[in-house]
Amino acid sequence: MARVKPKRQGFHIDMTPMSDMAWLLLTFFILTTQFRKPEIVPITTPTSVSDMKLGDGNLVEISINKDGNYYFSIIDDKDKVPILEKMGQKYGLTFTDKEKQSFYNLSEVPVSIGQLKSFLNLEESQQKTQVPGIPLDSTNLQLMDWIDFSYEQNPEIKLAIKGDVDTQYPKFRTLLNELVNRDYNKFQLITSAEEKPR
Amino acid sequence: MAQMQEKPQQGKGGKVRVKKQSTAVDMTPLADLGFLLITFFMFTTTFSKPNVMGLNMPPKTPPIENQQEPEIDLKNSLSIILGGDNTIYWHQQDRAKLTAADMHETDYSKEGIRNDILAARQRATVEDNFTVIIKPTDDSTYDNLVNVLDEMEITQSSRYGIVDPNPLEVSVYREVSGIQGEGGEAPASAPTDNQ
Repeated sequence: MARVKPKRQGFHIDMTPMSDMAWLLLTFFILTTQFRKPEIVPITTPTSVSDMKLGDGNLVEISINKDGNYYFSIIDDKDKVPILEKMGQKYGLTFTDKEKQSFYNLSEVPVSIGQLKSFLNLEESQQKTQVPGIPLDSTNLQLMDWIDFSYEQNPEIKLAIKGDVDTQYPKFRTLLNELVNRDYNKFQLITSAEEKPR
Repeated sequence: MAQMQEKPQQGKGGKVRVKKQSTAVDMTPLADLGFLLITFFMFTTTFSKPNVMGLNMPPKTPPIENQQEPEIDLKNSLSIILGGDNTIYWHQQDRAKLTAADMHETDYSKEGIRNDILAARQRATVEDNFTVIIKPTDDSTYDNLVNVLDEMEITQSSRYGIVDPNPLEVSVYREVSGIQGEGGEAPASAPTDNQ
């Protein structure tokens, strides 16, 4: 007697739900990702073994480039315009809606408040060439005003400092002294990852 | 590929029937592509975040009048002086008695400053009180400071502070290294030495 062979069947799984789920997740990720605005000033950060990650919100960033110029970035988009308005109030400047929109699209504040108005009216391609930084010295503590107003806007805010590999230490010391003078004692130094020994 | 059942033509000159084809499309490549893109997005979002290292500075306190200088066991502290051109020195001498002979040159490598810190901690009278004092000179860079802070983390030295070098340390450093600062001026701000 011949044995009854089970009939071979093609093995098919319906992939539709799987692809549905994949694309749904994809859509979710794309929508929740905040795209980083192009940086005006290139900065190479030093490396460290620290494995702490930079937080998402409640953050302002002070950058020092290799020439020792200071820049200030507000990470939370919603805080940008209110802080700009407060700065404007203090320095007697008003900004048009177009200038506010242009400010909103900036990744960092690259000029002093006096030059900011004309800077915001520049074409985007021209903006990259004119980045003298925000003044911070004994006669002009404008950078500190930005930080003070950021705190006023959002008391939860944390300070991150991003320095270039070639930044001279005195520039960092000036910043540190001024911050400590105003009772800002906790900072986060932004670095890039490096492998931990052993 | 998708299931297509071909049935033999039923001849006999009957009506020509339109073959029924199943419309099931293989979804596997679509799912593949979806997951590939997800992976890409996950990597670019979470891994592009920079690392941070915390830095806490002591709050500014007004100088206390007539404060007695506390007695300090020099073995319990290590001063690291960051110089220009990626040079680094350490000493364990009192700030008033420092000479060029007390300055030890080392480097940023694994065998350099890291071993010196660990060795100094071994020598300390009370290991729990061992403190590293980081003194960056005007010639050093931000990178040097971050590297030394990194060493603090690697050697698990929880007690450390960043202070400006005092004038004697700067002059001894200049003598040892031969690097002259711009105009050879004294440090810009008053040293806030906590020794």
